[in-house]
Amino acid sequence: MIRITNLKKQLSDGFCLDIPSLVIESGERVALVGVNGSGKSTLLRLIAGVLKPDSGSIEIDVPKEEICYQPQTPFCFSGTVRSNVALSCKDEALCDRLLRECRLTELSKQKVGALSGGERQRMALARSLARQSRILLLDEPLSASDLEMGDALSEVIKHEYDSPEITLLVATHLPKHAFLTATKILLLNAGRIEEYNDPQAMKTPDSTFGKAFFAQWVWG
Amino acid sequence: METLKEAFSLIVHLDSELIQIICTTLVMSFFSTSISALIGIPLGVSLGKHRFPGRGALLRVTNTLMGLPPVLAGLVVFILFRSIGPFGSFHLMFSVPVMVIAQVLLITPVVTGLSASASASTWVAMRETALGLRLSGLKQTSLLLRECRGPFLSVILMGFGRSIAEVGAVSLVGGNIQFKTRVMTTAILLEANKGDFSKALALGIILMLLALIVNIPAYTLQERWK
Repeated sequence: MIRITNLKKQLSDGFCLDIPSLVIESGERVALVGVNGSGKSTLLRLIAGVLKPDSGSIEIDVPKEEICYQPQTPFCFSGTVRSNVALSCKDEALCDRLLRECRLTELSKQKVGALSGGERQRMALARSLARQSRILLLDEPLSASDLEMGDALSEVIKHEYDSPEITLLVATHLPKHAFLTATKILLLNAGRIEEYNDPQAMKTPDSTFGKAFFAQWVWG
Repeated sequence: METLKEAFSLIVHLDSELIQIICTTLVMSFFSTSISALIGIPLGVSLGKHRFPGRGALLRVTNTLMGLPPVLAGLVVFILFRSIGPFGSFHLMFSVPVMVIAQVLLITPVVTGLSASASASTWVAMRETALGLRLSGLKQTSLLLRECRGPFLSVILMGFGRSIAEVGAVSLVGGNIQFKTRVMTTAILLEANKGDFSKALALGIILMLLALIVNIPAYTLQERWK
């Protein structure tokens, strides 16, 4: 479970994230949505611990080692696709399975420098999934994928994290993938929570901003 | 043309003095660059990766020392190692080891400063991924070193270049003694002072050839790492 209380974080550009209260239960798959600069990445970075809050608290009921975070622009370490995924793999079989599921088997011996943007993103996703952490935080993991690949990877994420003991938070701009992956949708606007509900309920949001925001979505 | 002929003749006829000069130059440059790299790269990586109180001041001191005049470095080592100096009992004056010490003093800040700069920019790029994957501190550092191996090789080559081409400090503490502490640069200076510019230039060409021989495999290695 992730419990956020009176969380505030001001960034150097003046943006301020302000979350008075938020509880994410274990086993939830939460899609973080909102326009650019609404605070999705900042919230993920704060939960991951790579950013320190100005005030407030984030209580997480799992050890820090059990939280895996993939930034919006993941770094690809020199070497092959396989050596990158193996960085966080406990065994060879898991590495092989994730390479296969993320459609990277044929690229496994390829040097990362030769990969396209989408392939690098798939490799980063396989590497994060290989960590098998109890909380996984993904920042725009499918932004460079085409629709068909995005659907397939959404299914992989959903399949890997379909357990009451593990929690997934995904920041995304893709409504279809949010709907496919999530059990809850968290809508952020200018650093504040506008809506937090299940996908069905989000089709008829309460707030004016929510209505305007989701009106643009073509639901999966 | 005459100069080229003389350089070629010097190489072909390799007399014992030239062999000694080349060997002394290479030994001195190898040790001073290696010691500077062993001190400067870990120090630079620490400055580039970690944030701690006094880091800014350390970086400023390092950057200032990068411009340390060779003669001043030589003078400091001379004062420390002369017979009445604090380290006079080691009897190292006018020997290759004291020339290495002077060059380490000169090159280490350059290696440290450039390593700090290279590792800091790479660490900024990989920090969130490494922390997000919960890699251990040791693993993070080993990956950072691996990612920076190209820039670090350039830094080492630069250090070697500065060492092999340096004249002020080595002439002050080495004394340019024939068959003992004479290196390429001090030999060039001596020939120029004697007015034998052809021989001075010929020695200069050999010096450049030595630098080229060292740079070719290093460049190949860098290309392979890309």
